[in-house]
Amino acid sequence: MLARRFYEVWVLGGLSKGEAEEIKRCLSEAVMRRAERLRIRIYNKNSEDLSYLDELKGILLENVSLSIVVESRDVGKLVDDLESHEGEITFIIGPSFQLPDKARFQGKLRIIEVRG
Amino acid sequence: MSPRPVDIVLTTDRSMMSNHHGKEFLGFMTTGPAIGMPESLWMWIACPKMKTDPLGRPWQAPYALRKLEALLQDKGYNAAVIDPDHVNRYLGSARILMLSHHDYFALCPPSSEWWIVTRKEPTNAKSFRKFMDSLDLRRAKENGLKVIVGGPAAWQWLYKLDLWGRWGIDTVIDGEGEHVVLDLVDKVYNGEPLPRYVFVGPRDVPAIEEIPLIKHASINGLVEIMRGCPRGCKFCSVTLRPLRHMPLGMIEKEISVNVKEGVRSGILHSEDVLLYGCRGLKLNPDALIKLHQVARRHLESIAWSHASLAAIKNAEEEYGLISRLREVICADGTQEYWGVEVGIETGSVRLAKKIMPAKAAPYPAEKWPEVVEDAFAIMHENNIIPAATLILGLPEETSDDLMDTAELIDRLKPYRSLIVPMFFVPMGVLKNKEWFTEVKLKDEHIEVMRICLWHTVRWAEDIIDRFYLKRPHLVPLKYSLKMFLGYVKMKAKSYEKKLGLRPIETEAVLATH
Ligand code: SF4
Repeated sequence: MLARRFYEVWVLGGLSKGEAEEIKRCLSEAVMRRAERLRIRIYNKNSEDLSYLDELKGILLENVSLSIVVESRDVGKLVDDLESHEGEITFIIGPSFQLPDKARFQGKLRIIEVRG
Repeated sequence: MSPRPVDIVLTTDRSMMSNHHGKEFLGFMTTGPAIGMPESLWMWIACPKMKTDPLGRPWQAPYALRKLEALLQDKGYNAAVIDPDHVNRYLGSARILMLSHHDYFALCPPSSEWWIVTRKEPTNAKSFRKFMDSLDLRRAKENGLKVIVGGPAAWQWLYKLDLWGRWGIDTVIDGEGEHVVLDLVDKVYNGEPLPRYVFVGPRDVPAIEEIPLIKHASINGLVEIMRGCPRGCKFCSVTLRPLRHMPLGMIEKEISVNVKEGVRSGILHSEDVLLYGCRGLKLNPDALIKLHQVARRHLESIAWSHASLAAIKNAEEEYGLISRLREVICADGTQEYWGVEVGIETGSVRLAKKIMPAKAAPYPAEKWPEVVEDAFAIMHENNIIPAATLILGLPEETSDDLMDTAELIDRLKPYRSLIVPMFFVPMGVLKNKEWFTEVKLKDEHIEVMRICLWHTVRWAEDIIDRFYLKRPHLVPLKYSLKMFLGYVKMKAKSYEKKLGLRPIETEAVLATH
């Protein structure tokens, strides 16, 4: 199942209300586009930190139609991950975070910037 | 004896790893705290230790763990279900620890309800916590152990992030795991990072041919005959998954596995046993008769996990099927009765139409209370003992709805049954709704709970006297249960007196047969 096609939503900069709202919108969009699976990947300085799940809880419990996979990744892996990933990514960037080498990846990213 | 290493250890705590003396109903006691007796005695009654082999492999284990064990062994992995008392022996060298539970933190009914009423942590949550704290997880994690948890209560971990972190849980799987478990195990073996949370949606559930056959005995001989349910109740997550009927050959093979390992009773598991082989909601009497004949050929006694009240009424009224099944099940006199869980949920037609419009089908939702009463009468006539659930605190529930429920329960007095009110826990499409436990109890809730309590206590005494625990070695258990019921009655009476409530107990009417 994990190797199948996913609707990709990656988040840089932890998760607060603003980012969670955007993820919710992405989920509705994925359902509308008849996607079957959604991957939420959170890039954090500390990939062991689980506090973002508190913010995601409502979204995860509300969903009944899609398979959802949540991953936490070390922010240091972001560029490598972007390079190796094929296909479109919805990329949510929290306030005061910047995507390194933005121009290089712009082609595959749909960027949503969350203001503070 | 030093055990042979096991790479993938599958386990759960004692409240789940027990056959409850062969009496599934006793397992419900694990959902409450010890009442009126020491906790050790309560645990002995509710979940005695399971017999194990010298390697710590239990004689019987939860069906979900048996399925996983089979799935992994079929793919060539060194996996085994291990009794909770023996898990530490394996952690030093295991690569993965997999856990499953029905109610990790006692957040599901009826545990949540016991917790609210008694203000004491139920034994299932306590037992799970003690088990996790007893494991040498820190050292095992340092050696690279991965911990994957799942089962029907997986969602509860989202409410317990502190424990998720403390016990080093790597991944939580919510939903039918056959596909994703193999992916995760592959990742561990390839040294790849694991996802934190996986929800398996309806399109990723396994097809029948992907579901493995258990290789060792399941608790009380439970075997799955179907997955999913077509009725679409809004508070239920089962209904979101596609309906799949297990072929009879597959069911027979699993029954044979149990019998071969000495488990000669069986529970046919489905959300609605009577829908086995159905087309839509149209019953298939031939498939049901054949299923029971096959089960009876191998087993000394049969129970049903769940059945819908509408199907019970429909089966008997249209096909005389309940009586025919009774003839098969009770054919040679070794079995006098059988148990089943049923859902009343509400006595209010208004609520029934709103949240479970197809629960009464093929009858209209307006007839729901009548369907319930007729089904109870049919079960009583045929020696089927239902453990029925009610849901209190459903969204938009009014005092009138609760009065309708109270009236319905009152009309069920003559029918042998246990009725357990449960508080609403948001599941299915209502998962995001406000949790009932945050809402104040109304007087009408207390009244419904009181009516249920007296109904259940009186009938429980009758069931114990007439049907239950007849073998000589079960006599101490029988008397412990009678003592417990005596204690509950005494406590309930004293509360009623304190609160100035009209006693209900004396009004209970027991039928004479
Ligand atoms: S009948 Fe039972 S299993 Fe089926 S949808 Fe309703 S509550 Fe769920």
